[in-house]
Amino acid sequence: MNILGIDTSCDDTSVAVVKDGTSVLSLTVTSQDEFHKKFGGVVPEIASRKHLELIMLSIAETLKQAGLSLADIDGIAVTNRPGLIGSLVIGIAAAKSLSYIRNIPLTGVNHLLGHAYALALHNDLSFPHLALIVSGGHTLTAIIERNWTMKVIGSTRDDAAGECLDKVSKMLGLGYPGGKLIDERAARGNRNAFSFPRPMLKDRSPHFSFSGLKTSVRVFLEHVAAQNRDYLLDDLLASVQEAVMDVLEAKTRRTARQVGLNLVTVSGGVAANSRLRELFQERSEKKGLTVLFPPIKFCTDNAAVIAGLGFHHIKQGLSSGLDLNAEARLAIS
Amino acid sequence: MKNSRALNVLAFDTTTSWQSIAVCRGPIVATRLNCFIPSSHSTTLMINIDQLLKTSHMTIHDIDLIATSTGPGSFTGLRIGLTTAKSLAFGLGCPLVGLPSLESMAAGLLSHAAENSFIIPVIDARHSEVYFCTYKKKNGAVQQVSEITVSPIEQLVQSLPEDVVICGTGALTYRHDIEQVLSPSRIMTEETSLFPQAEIMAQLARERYNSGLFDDPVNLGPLYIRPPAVRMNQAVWTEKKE
Repeated sequence: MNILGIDTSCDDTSVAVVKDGTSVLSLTVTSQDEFHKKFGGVVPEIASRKHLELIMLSIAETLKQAGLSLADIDGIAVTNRPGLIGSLVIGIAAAKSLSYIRNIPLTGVNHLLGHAYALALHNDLSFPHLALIVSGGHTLTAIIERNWTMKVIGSTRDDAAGECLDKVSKMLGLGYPGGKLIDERAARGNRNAFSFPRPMLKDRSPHFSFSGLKTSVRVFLEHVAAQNRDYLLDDLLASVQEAVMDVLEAKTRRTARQVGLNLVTVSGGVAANSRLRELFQERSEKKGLTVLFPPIKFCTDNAAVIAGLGFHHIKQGLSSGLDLNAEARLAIS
Repeated sequence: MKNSRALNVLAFDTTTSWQSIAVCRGPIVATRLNCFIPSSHSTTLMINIDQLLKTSHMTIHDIDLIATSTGPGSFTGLRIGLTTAKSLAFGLGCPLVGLPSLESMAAGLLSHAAENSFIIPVIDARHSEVYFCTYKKKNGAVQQVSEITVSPIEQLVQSLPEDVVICGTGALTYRHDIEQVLSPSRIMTEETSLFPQAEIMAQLARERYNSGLFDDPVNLGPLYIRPPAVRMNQAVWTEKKE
């Protein structure tokens, strides 16, 4: 069963064809970073304009790369939540039209569950397991069941982890997106140079908070500026990154223990972070958890996971009508 | 292309708070829908297209030509209509005609205008501005005689030609300002003058197609007229929360 997946939830236009939920026949991801970086973040109106420009081209190119035509597609999966409404509706309009013409099932997919599905593309997963989904827009832990439903256990009370890194990067004038830049520079710095707070780490709750950390960095910068002190930027970045990744790993490990699950998957854009991968390996794995990360290209937004997950939805009869709606937020915890 | 019978055209416009859809067999309007749907084109457009086709005893595969508005108008509505039209044409492998919304509105007013007189459709662009374009009735058809413009309403009012009829949401919003310089009988603000009528679009698209003028579904783009509203250093982070 060939599923065409479409994701236009934020600032990447992505289309994929996936066979039987695991075999990625083709995947295109067109990043709009170039158009957003001068604003230091995603500008919704620009994102919508770019999606419209790219959507048909991406669909045509992705089908071509798979060596297929629309007639070979058996179902269409599209991200319908959560995301920027003006961006989501473009993918949804294309998905509805194409499924209508072919009279094939259409299914609306939860983008976050899609991130968690990244691990299912290359692994034979056991269920239930705990997923840490962490990106520029989201930070949450959720129990994933065999039927690909999720129950959110912990989520961020304010900024997402990736958002915190992006904002620190912006504060320091390093550019956007900040996560990748910080990862590269932090590798050259001393992560113990400065001690930043580990927000909510001592708290027993499964929830996260990252806005205070961003404020700590601001206070730190004001402090060193006032005292005319020098510091190494790489050291600062390494220390900030350490605080973020430390909290993510430690809280996820504790949550896994609390809910009694031994398999943990980590996905979303921040799952590409090398220090996060190290920490899970050094600590979680040593404490008996099995931790899986997807290949880098399936960490960030991509339609392959949407098509893969859509395959399971369609197999379970979870198809959507032509009234499928875009939803900005998920109703969670 | 199926030449042996009349061209079946599906036309729709979602650039305003109204949704206009028409299914036509050649010059005959098989079914039409004009309804007020503020901000929910996304959930209703395909359902309404499906319903109109069923009422016309047709399927989407009977459609030979698709027509849609390229703007200007509401950005989100415009993108939903344009994406739908592009995807349908791409999937069906049928030709597509994109029409400026103002041109379709002007064509809807032809019967109200004398030969060689002017028609100016005006769309409320919010922020005290309007989109408009000047057309002239020439040989019973509309001929575009100015660029599509976005400007404060005062600019339009000051530059109105004498022999003109005006229509559109901009004429409704700024009726009072326009009446200062134009007779009320020349300001058309009944519902069918406020937005592009799909049946008129179908007719314009058929004429265009018959002259060999049609668009590529992959590349057809919108006429936004106005650049994206972005303030430098604007914190857009809350928006990024997917």
